[in-house]
Amino acid sequence: MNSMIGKILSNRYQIIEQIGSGGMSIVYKAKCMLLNRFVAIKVLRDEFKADAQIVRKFNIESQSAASLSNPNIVSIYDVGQDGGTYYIVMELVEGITLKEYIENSGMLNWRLALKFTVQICSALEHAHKNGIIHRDIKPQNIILTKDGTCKVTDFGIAFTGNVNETRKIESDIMGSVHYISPEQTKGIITDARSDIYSLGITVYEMLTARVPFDGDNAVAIALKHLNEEPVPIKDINLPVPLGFVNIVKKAMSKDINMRYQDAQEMLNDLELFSGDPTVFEVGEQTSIDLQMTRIISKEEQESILRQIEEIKAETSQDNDYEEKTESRKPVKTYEPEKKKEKKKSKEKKKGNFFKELFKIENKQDKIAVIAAIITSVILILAVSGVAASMFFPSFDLFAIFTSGGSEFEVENFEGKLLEEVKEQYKNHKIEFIIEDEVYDNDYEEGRIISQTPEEGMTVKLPAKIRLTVSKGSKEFSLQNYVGEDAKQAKLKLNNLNLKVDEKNVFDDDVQAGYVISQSPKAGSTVRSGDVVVLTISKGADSANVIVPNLIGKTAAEAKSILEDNNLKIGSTIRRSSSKDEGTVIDQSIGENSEVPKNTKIDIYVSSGKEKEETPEVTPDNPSVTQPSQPSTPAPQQNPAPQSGTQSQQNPAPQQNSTPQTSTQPQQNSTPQPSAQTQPNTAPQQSSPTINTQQNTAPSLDIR
Amino acid sequence: MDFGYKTDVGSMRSLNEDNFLLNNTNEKYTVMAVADGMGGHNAGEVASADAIAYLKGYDESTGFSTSIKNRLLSCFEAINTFIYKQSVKTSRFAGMGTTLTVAVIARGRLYAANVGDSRCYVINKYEIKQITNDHSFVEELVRLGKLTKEEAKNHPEKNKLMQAIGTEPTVNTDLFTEDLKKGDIVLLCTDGLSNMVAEEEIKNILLTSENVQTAIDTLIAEANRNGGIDNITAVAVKID
Repeated sequence: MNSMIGKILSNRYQIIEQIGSGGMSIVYKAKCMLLNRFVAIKVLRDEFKADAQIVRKFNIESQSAASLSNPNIVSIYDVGQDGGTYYIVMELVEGITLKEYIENSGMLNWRLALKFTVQICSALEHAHKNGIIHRDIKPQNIILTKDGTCKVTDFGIAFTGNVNETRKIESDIMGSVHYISPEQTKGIITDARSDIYSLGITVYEMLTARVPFDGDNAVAIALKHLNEEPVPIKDINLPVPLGFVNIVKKAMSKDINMRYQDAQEMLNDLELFSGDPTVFEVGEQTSIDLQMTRIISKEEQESILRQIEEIKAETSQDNDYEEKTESRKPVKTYEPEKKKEKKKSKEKKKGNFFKELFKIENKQDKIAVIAAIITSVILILAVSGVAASMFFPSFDLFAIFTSGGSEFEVENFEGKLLEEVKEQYKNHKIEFIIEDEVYDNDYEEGRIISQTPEEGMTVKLPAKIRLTVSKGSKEFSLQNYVGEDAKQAKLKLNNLNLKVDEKNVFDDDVQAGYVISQSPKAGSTVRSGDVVVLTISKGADSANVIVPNLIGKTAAEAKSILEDNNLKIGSTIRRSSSKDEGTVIDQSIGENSEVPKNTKIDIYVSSGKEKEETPEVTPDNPSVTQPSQPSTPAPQQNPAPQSGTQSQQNPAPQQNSTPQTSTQPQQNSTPQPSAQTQPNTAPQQSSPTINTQQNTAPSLDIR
Repeated sequence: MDFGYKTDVGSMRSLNEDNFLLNNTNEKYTVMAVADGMGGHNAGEVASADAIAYLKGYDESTGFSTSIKNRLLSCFEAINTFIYKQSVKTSRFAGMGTTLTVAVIARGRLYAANVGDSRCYVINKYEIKQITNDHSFVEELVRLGKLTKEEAKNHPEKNKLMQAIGTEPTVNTDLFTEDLKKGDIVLLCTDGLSNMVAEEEIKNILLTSENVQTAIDTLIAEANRNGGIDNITAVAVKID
C-alpha cells in the first residue's frame, strides 16, 4: 500500500504521505492538483477491492455521506476509483483526535466538554436529519482542530457490519466496543439512538478521562454495556453540574426507548442546560427521566449545588486543568505562531446560546487545546521527522521525495536475486542485511522473499535494509508408495507438500484403491511443491459384457468373436461329435450371459465322429492342464458340461465372474441409483475426488 | 481407521487461506488440525501454512505420544511466538494471524486444543457435539447467555475473533478432552463449513455416507451450494 505514495489518482490527486489507517482502508494526505489544495484520501485496502459487496457499500455509503455539509462534520469532497483503487476524498483536518486530547489532558473541564458535546451533537443532528447514522461514534473519530472545533469524521463509512468476509481480531474492535450500544451488542439493526448512546459514552469519557465500561476483552466490555451501571460521573469529577450528568445519563440509557430519541432532542436539553446550568438538577423536568435523578441522594444534590455555586463564583481562577496546561513551556513558545494561522473568527461557528457560557473560558479552552495539539505534535516529532512539516510551514514536503542526496525511496527487491541487488547498490550507502534464509516454494535459491522497510518507504542514508532470502524449496528423498493404500499414500504426500496427480487404471493383479506405480520412483530427490504421479488400481476391469453365441463357428472364428467382445478364449476342449470337426459345439458360459470383461470362455470343439476318451487341451491355457488331468472319464463329463465340472476345471474365470454377477442384481435392487452402494466398487469410487462429488450430488436430493 | 479430508477455496474467494494436517501414520496416536488464516496480501495464507508446518515439525520431532495436554499447550505457544515474530519482523506480514484447532487421538481419548473459531466436533448416531469453544465475540456472548443462537447467526460482528494465533505475543489455548467410542467420528472444520451447513445436516451427512471421504466431499459440496462465502476445510476420522 505504501507504493501509493507519489501516485496520482484520476489525474487529480497526488498522494503525499500516509496519515492513518483503519481495518479496511488507509488514509493519505494528498494534493488536489485541480483546486490546488491539500485533501485527505481514504483508500480501500487492496484485499477488499475484489469483493463486490464491500466495494458497493464503500461507494454507496460514502456517496450519501458526501451530501452532508456541516462545520462539525469532516466534509467528503469526492468519491471515485482509479484502476481498481477505490477512494474517498475528504477535507484534510489538521489536529488531534478527541481520544488523544483526553489522553494528554485528562478530565476535561465540564464547560469545555459541554462545548464539544454540543458540536458533536449538532453534527449528529444534521446527519440524522439526512437519514445517515454514524454507527461508530467514538473519540477516535472526532478531530479537534487548532481553533478548538470538533469535527466528526468517518460518517457513513464506518460500515463494519454485514460484511461476512472480513475477519478481524479483537484488537480491531476493542477501539469501538467501549462505545457500542447494548442493541449493537445484540446485533440488532441500529438507528439514530445508537449514535446517541455512543455520544453519551464519549461525553462520559470527556468528563472522567475514562471509559465507563472497561474490561480485559471485548466480551467483558460488551457484557458491562448490557448489565452494569457506570461509576457515577460525580464520583470521579465532582464539579460537573448535576444537570449535565443527567443529560449524559439519559443519552447512555441502556433501554433504547429511555434515551433521547434523536440528536435534536438532546441538543434542546443541552441548550436549556447551557442557558441555566441548574435547570436539570431536580427530577421534575419532563425531559429528564425521573428514575435517573432518584439515584442521587438529596444530600449529594445539595453538596453539588454548593460546589457549583463555588465554581461559578471563582470563574477567573477556575480549576486546575488550565493552570496545568499554562505551566507547560512549549505552549508559550509556539503560541504566537499558531495564533497567526487562526485568521477565521471561530465565534461564528458556535451556537449563540453558548456565547454566554463560554465567553469567560474561551481563551483558556483554546490554550488547553493548543497545548494538547502541540504536545502531541512533539511526540510525533520524536518518532518521525516527517511531522516537522506541520510545524514549520516553510518545510517543503516534497523535498523528501525529490531529494536524491541523503534520502532514498526504497525499491521493490522482492523476487530479485540478492547478488544482483547488492551489485546494483554497491555505490549507495545501503547495507543489505540477510535477516533470515528460509525454504520457499515460490522463489528459487538466492532470491529475495521479503524486505524491511517496504517498497515506497523513504529512508535516510546510510540505510540498512533487512532481507529474507530463499534457500529454494526443501529437498528430500521420495519414499516408496507402490503397494500402499492410495488414500494413505495421498495423505502422506499431501503432508509432505507434494502434489498428487493420480491416474486410475484397471488392474487384475493390484487390489482396487492401491498404488500400482509411482513417478518419480522411490529414492528420487524431490522438492516440496513437486508433482508425484500415482497410478492407482481400479481393480479388475469390472465392466460387464454379454457373451455371444459361438456354437457352429469354427474355433478360429470363436476366438476372434470373443476378442471383439472383450472376452478371452479359455481352454479348447475337443470332444467327439456328429458335427464337422473343428466346429464349436458348446461354450462354457451360455449365450447372453453377462460376465466381466476379459472373462475366459472355454469352447468345446468337435473332434469328428471318432471317439476320443480324453479331452485334449491346447497349450493355450496351461493353468487348465492341471485340473483337467485325463483321469476323469469322459462319459461323466458329458451329461453336465455346463456348470458343475467346468467350475472345477477352470476356477480362475469362475471366481472372477461369480461374485461379480451375483452382486449385480443386488446393486439393481438397492434404492440408491449410484454405483457407490456396491461394496466392491467402493474403494475405487472414493479415490478420485471429482467422481465422488458428482456421484454424491444426487443423494443429497434423496435425503 | 477410516478418514477423509478436503480443503476448498469456496465459491466467493479467490485465495484459499485454510490449511490442514492429518497424520495417522504414527502407531500411538493420530493428529489432525485445521487452520484458517487472516490478513491481507496473502499473509493469511502464510500464517495458516506456517502454523500447520510448525505443528508437523513438532509432531515429527517431539510428537504427542505422552503428556499430550502439556505438549499441545507448549506447541501452541511455540507456534504463536513463531508467527507473531514473523508478523512483527516483516511489514508485509503485519497483523497476520490464524485460527488453529488441533486434535490428538490416543488410546481412545480425544485431546483437542483450540484458538480461534475453527471447530472440533464428535459425531455419533446420538448427537453432534461441539468439543471446542469458538473464541469469537458473538459466540462468547452466546455462551454467557447474552445472545441467542438465532441472534448470533445474523450478528454483524459474527466474524470478530477474540484471539488468534500470531496476533499477540501470548496466547490462551483452550484444551478439551473427550472419551471416544468405536464408531465416533471426529471432525475438524473451519467456519467456512460450520457457518454454511447446519450441525444436524453435518451429522446426517457423516452418518449416512458410505465412507468418511465421501461424507467430507458431500459436506464441502453442500457448503458451496449454500453460498460458499468462505474457504471450506474439513478433516475427519472414524474411530475403530
